[in-house]
Amino acid sequence: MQKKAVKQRNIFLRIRISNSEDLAILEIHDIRNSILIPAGFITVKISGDKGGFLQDETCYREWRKKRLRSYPQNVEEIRVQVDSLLNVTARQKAALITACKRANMAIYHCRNAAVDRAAVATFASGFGLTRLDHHLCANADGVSELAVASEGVRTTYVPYSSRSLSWHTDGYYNDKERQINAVILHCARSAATGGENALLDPELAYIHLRDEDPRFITAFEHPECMTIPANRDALGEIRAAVSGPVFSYALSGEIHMRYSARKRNIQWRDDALTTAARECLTQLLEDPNGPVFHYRLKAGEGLISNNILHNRTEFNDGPGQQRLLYRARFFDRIRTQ
Amino acid sequence: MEAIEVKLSDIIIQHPEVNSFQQLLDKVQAMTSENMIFLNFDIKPDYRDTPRNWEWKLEVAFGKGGK
Repeated sequence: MQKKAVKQRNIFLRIRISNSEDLAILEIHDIRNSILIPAGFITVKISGDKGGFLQDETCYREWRKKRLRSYPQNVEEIRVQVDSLLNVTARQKAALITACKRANMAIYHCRNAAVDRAAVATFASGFGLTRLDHHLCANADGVSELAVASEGVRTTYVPYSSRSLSWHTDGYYNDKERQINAVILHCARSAATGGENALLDPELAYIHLRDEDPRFITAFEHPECMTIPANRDALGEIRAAVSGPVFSYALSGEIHMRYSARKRNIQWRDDALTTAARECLTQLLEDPNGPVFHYRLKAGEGLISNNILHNRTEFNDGPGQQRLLYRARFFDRIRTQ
Repeated sequence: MEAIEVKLSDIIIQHPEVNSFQQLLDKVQAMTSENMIFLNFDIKPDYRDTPRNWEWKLEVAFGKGGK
């Protein structure tokens, strides 16, 4: 819900916008006399399937202008110091939420570096992130430990190696019911060298693609745009094949992006516009003068995001310096109100 | 009359001396301007003493201020 109070002769104009109803309720509120005067109702168009306000060119232009105007110029603008993941002050929380509103991500630096998986989960709950994705390689508590694996099922997955990771959003192989909306990456130990992330807000990617050609958005909205084949091992099928769009939308209008730049085990819709849209996106991600942030998390630092686009450079562990990141993936989005 | 918009998050972030909801109420009440002020409740102020009806209390403090 968004709300504004207008101060003028102690009369407040309230506008309530509900995410669950197609109604905005207009109220006139006389604070001095404690009188609430229902002024009427405005019907608003909310359409989660089609991107809601993004379908309206005028609304989109206004939203685009605000997004670009508020987008951080550099990664320092989204860095926030916190005392402890178990005790985030109202001011620190406000700074983190403000960064997330501007860029769908924030980087925190925790003064108290002693953090375990439970602390990450507690920190997350303060932002409304409670529904963890208990996936194949996660620990029992749902928080994964990303480190170079020497044995077990993790050795077959690139995130648990020191190799580079190409651009992706997390859980791109999940179906719609298990869509990953937010991710926390907390660095417990950094590598001796390497392990830098590149980061991009998917809303910036959306704007770039739409600016280049609005048909790219249509191509990326197709329900069979991107297919990840089934995941099988010697014992059989672990996960069925998953098809879905790149761009989908929450009822309240937020954009969700599902993407992987990997070349193998992925099937893109065989369509000229889809191919052109992918090329356009690749150019943006590789543009050294573009909006991509680069950051190497140090011990005690973490990234909280609404599942942004990111990659990772390869890294090298040193003696007593094995890279360890805690990763928690959520079905919720970061609560900003 | 010119209108200016003030975000609640900006007040919280820019005033490190504010460490409680009561102090935030005092800060909001003390706001003055020759212009019309729009106070945007863009975030919930998450202090230990933030009451459930925090919006109501902030509106009242905002209304009382600047007299």
